[in-house]
Amino acid sequence: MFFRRFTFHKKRIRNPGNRIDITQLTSGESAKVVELNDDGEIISKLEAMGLIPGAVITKKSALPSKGPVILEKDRVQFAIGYDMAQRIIVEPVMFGTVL
Amino acid sequence: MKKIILAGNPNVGKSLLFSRITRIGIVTANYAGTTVETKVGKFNFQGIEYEIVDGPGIYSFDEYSETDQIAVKLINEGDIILNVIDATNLERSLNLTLQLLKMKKPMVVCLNFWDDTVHKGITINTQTLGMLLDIPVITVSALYDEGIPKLLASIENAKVSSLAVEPGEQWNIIGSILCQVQTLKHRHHTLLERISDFMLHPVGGIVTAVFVLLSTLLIVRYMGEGLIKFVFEPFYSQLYNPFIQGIISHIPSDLIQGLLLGHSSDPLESFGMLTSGVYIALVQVFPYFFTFYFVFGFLEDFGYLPRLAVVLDRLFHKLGLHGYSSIPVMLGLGCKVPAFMSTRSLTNKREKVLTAALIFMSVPCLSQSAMIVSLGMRYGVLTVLSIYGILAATAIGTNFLMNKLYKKGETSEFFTEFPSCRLPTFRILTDKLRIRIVEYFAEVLPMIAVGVLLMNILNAIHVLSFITDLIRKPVGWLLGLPPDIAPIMLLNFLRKDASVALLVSLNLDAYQFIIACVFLVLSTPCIASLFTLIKELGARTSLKIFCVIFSATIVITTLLHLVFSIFQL
Repeated sequence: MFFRRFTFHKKRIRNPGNRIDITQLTSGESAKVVELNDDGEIISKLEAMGLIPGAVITKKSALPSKGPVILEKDRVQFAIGYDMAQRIIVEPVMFGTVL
Repeated sequence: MKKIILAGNPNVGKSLLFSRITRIGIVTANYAGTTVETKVGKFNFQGIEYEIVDGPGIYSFDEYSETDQIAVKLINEGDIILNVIDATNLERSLNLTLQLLKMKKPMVVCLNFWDDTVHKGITINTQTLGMLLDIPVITVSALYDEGIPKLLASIENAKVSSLAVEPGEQWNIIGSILCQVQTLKHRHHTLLERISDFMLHPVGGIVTAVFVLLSTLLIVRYMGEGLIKFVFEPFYSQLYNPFIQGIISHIPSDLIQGLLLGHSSDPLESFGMLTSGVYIALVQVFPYFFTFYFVFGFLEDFGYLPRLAVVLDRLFHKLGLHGYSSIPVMLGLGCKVPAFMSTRSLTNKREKVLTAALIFMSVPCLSQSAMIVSLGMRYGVLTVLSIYGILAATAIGTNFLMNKLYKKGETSEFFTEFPSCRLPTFRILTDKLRIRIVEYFAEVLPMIAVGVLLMNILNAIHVLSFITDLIRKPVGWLLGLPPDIAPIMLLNFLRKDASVALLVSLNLDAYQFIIACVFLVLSTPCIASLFTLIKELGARTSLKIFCVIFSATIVITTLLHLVFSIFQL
């Protein structure tokens, strides 16, 4: 039961265009950044890397038990902490719809 | 003399370019944040002398960490900006370039990693790029030492760009520049990229970490042992020792002979400058130093450290830190001095303090490790493993408590960029190894000389016997160690390997050896790392860290003594 509670939101079926945060993406899925709900150091680093609203990113992998999330943008890979990933809102895209 | 500043994002190869231009050797590695201080060099090009400065990389002009401050200050001071760009990552690099253009200083753009663009399927029209940015653009491969003369020749053409960037417009401008100069070809994943993907996979990451750790241990152990047995030990006993004994025996003074050669034929017990000193530094420690930095240098240049940091992030979160702190801790496996220095790239003080404590406690430095392992193996592998187990447990326990008790501050978020995995060239590896070896001998030889001299003086004026009497009871009761350990504890301050080596003369049993080693590792930092710590964190904070760790040491060694006494009954 405990286990189910943790995995519940990930199993949710969703349509492209739904707003979710990065942790809810499955690995390999691409999404367009909608907004970054924070300000501060990491945001300024992410913005400096071009992770701004409108940018398309791919989630490469995520470490278990709320570990870092690994993202790829324009062939560059980077990792951000789970809490940070929760504050980045994206819209999943199917290949071909946005690119 | 014109002052040229190397400016750019982290890990675009500024330091390597600097050392190629100036021929000054500096340690470089394939991860963001290798450089934490500035290095100044000079070079002469066609009769004109220039000063060139290398500093930490930045993503933007926002100042969050100490390294950011250093970098921004540098850029403000420069006459000419040499903007180093990762050619395989043009979009992000241009963001900083546009910000640099606003400084209205003469500038040249240097596209580094030019060799990489070919197999990454990237084509960049540098002429158009130069035209759009309105400054010279030169392609370079610092790794293979290509394009440097052209770059130097372009410096006199450095100019202030007329490109004006309105605030908020930069991403549109970058987008339009990219459209005009860059074409990307689709290509298949290379083997190195597959390896990288595996290292970042939730399960693959852990598998790789275990594999790397075990193979590092095995390589360092067997290669180190092999070097000792077949190279350094024969060299010492058959060539060096007879030679030095022959020469010194002609010196007419007993006092000087005693200082230089010591008073025993066993090089671990004699405690002479030229016998024990050289034996410990060269025969016992250096082979491990060499093999460790050989393997570690490879891992650094391969780009593994930030990938390991991701895997370790969860563990470090429990200690109030995040994965990036694991890089200073890993550096601490070798030597605490660069480890403490690299805490500069951490953003807040809380993180720095917790990381420093972890560096301090978690593992002994390489020199001390080498001695603990080589002497500990006389008692069996279990003894060695228990020492490391106890140290790791103490470090994690203490840090866990410090995290709970230390004034709350926000733990900053984890962020790291992954450099491409690269197979380092042989030349880069040997250059780096050479720099580290020179630094090692420059530090170890004077320290051992001072140590031996000091101990002999203290002995001659009866200070040692006074201290020995003073600590006889507390050391006996609490730690169960003989009082003769007093001079060893003092020596621990100068050279942490020599102090462990001297334990031989005490004829300890396995339990006492474990307690003594744990005590020597934790109780005092060596003088070089102490000064680095004070420089990085200030005297007050360093003193606090020192007190916390010292109390933890007393508690843990006393507990060990208690537990072992119960066992032995």
